[in-house]
Amino acid sequence: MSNCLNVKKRTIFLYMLPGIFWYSFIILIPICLAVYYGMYDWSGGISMTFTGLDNYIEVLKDPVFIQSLKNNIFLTVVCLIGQIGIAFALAMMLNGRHIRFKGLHRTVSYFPAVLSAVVIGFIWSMIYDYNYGLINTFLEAIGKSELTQAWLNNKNLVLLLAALPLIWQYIGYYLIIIMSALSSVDPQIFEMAEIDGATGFKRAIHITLPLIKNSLIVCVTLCIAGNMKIFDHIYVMTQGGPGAASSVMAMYAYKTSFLSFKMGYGSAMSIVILIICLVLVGASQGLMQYFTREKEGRA
Amino acid sequence: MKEIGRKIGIAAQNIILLLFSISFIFPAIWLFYSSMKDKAEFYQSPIALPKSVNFDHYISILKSSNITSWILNTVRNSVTTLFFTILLGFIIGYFLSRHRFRGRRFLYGYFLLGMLVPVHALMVPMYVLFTKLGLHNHWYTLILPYTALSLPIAVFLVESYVQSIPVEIEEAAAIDGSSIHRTLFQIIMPVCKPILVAIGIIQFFYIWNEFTFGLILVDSEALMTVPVGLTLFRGRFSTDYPRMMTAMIISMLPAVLLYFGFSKQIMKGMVSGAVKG
Amino acid sequence: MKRKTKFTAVLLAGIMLLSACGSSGNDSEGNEAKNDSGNTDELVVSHYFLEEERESDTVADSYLAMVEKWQEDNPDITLTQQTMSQSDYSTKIQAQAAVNELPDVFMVKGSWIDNFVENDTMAPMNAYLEADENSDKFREGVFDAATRDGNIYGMPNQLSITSIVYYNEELWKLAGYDVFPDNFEDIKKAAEKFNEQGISAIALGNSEKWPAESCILSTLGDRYTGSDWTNSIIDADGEAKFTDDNFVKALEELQSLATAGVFNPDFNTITETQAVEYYGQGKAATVISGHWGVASISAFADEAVLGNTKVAILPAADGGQADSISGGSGWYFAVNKNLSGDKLEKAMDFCLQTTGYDMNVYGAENHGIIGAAMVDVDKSQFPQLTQDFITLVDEVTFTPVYDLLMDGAVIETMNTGLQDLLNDSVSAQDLAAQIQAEQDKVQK
Repeated sequence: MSNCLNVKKRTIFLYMLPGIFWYSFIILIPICLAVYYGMYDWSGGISMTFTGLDNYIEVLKDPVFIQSLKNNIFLTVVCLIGQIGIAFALAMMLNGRHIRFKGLHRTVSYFPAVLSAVVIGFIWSMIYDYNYGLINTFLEAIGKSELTQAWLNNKNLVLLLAALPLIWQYIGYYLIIIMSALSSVDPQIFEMAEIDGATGFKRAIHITLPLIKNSLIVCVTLCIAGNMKIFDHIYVMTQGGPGAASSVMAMYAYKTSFLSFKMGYGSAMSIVILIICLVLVGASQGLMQYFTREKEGRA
Repeated sequence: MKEIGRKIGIAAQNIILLLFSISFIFPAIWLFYSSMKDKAEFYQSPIALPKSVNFDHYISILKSSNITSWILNTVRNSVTTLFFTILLGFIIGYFLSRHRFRGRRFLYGYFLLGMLVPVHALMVPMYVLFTKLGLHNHWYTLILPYTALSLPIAVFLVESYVQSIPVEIEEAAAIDGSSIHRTLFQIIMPVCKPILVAIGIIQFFYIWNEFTFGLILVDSEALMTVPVGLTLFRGRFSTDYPRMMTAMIISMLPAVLLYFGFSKQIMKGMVSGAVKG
Repeated sequence: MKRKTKFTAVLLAGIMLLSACGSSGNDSEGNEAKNDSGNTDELVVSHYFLEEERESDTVADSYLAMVEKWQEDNPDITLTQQTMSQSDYSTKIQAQAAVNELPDVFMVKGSWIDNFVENDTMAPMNAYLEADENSDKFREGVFDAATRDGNIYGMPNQLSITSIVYYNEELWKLAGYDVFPDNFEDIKKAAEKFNEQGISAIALGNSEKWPAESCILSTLGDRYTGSDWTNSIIDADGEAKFTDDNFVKALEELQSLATAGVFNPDFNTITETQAVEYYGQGKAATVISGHWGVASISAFADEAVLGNTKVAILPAADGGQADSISGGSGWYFAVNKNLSGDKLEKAMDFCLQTTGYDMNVYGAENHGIIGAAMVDVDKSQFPQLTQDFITLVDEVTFTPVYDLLMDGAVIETMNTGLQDLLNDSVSAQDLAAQIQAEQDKVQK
């Protein structure tokens, strides 16, 4: 392609340089610093003791960290289904011919993504509130008041309950991306499929999915990345509680650095989180490429 | 029979969409009308509509705080960041997509890395970096990390989008004797408008609501951003929910107004799609 | 070619626009003033006392009033206050400490002093304290947490009394108790009666994790272990361990209170302030809060509840004594080590004037605050609750507050684990072991 466009390599390089430089400054240097700090026993300030890879190994053995990692993975899976799954279903519906108020639905769906984590956390804390919350009020109204509880204090449910606001907030986000992808698909393809007798569901799976494959891979990657480093929502709603039941990696790293004053250890943890994310995203991308390539092969 | 089944199917879809949409918008509405109650009224019945429309909390908060300067700061940060993000993100995304060169995959992955960075955990190195270089506490301080952290998504989305634009466009332009500079900004960029708009929307609200950098990298009150300023209302002893909600609404308002103001633009952008055939 | 120039023009315009925006928002005096030892015109102080809270936080009101006075007395100095909520403050000050970019005057928690001293960030105050005529009016021991090797590094800002039992006399009478019970069994029995009526015996708001430890365990623990044990932990000399029987018994007692339904069911999901509100609305018969409870209850509680509120202290452990509560000075104002000359003088003066004896006088006379310094004040001018509070505090001795003095990581583990303990999802022994594991890592 570069041949037919005759663009000099140097021009490309110069164009991209400012962006690359800016980005490296903010991202690369702190990461390198974090790697460096991670090799010390450091509590902030002047005195630092070199400990090599001790911190890194410690992180991998830390039970709270492992629990946090599990929580992150759980959240990611729930959000993959909840956010992208629902977004895809809604996008398919919105693409249909007999749907009313399409503009309204589209506009309103992204609205929660516009709100800050503090607001989201507040709203949903009110929903889960023991005395005034929507859930308990509803349960009492239908006569099931023995089921009322302090929802966010439930060790087993808290993570799922924390996932709900996440899903609710970001459905619109993925909806935009998917709809943007759908809009670049030739509508004639859909019409032909309908003529051929394909029903809605089949149409979705066999025709639409492959066509917007790239965008879906984008969505999955964004979802995994976003949920691996989630912080704000959990911090506002549960602070990781009760105990460490809803603790997530980024929050644990933050606490370690700023509440427990173990900045060396906290830095090592951030690097480990980064590496884990890289591995997961890389693996998921690889998997998706593999599966979709297979499908094309068959066609 | 099939006809009825189809009709029910359509009705069901409409209802589902309606329910979702109501759920998306209702909490904000609830936040708004609750902010007009006073504390006692709110505790009595959190969901009911307020007895009277009163803006007491609003007046009190607007008078007693610097909320307008916070909003100005945040707007300035947002606009500037978006400008650079869209510009630089577009350039990089385009070249990564269209051109094969050594290190392309590496560069792509390199930008992808930015999306995985656990920001809170890197607060300390970031702070060290900024203070050692004297970059903190200026009007441009926050623009630096905001742009850098917005680039990954911008590059990612542009790269993917550009792949679906037919090469014929550039080929035609080349035949017409257009230089790469002209092609890039005058021909390709407009075609990418939908995705650039999407990036703008997504990142605008990220910047608007960003809290951590605003807290750590900026000290002076004159430069405070909205989310940080909001926390001044959530002192240890505050359980006046309606008042807190008022502060939330005020902080959301500019962003929300912008959002609904531009919604037509946004939708148009998404629907018009790319040039095909 | 045309395209290129147009593009460049746009870029230049953008830059000019940015500069224009810049002039409206730039205010970066922070950089210049901080490490400049000679510049006497500016002083930067950071703390967590919010204007917004003055009505309901008497300590905030007292401190801010003193700051205002100092500004009047020193009009030629530009004082910049960096204020934020207490939890944000902790984050911010740590970041600043990490790069030695602390403000001129800042607040420091007792448990951070070791760190800060190790990194040599605070200026010793001994000389200035000796020169101040009011220094001897301070209570014994309030400077201790900020003293290392004879050097005093901080001015105590408040006397944090964290464990006062505020109870509704009326409700307890109806349950059969004229005064707050002096043993835990009675509390549990009463809880049954209260729960039947749909209220809780004790309101607890532990969503931020510190109340259970700071307001209850610090005192409850002491009932079982005695202060020597606590001080040994604080000194980290290895003698006392969290796994000692005494401490484990304390944990078990705390857990038994929770399992007996003494607390409100949503204790881990509401904040301490909300718990005080519960009490104030009559939804709970008691709330265990700190000295700030007096102000909160006086400001927010229903008239009837306020009228019936009496104060007490936590009961004794089986066969033990109950004459102490957790309290002490935990927050200090310190001066940046990097200052010198005139600026140092001004900063020290600021410290001593705003958080010194005068502040204690203001607090005592206006609000009945019991501060780090002893002030004679006529109690009778204050509301009944404040008077009762002062009387109570005069009669007890103080034991260390855990989270003001123990190592941060240890406290963090304790606080997080207490949520589980109260939920009955971890045993007292296991939790003690976890906390001890953290304590083992503390080196002195």
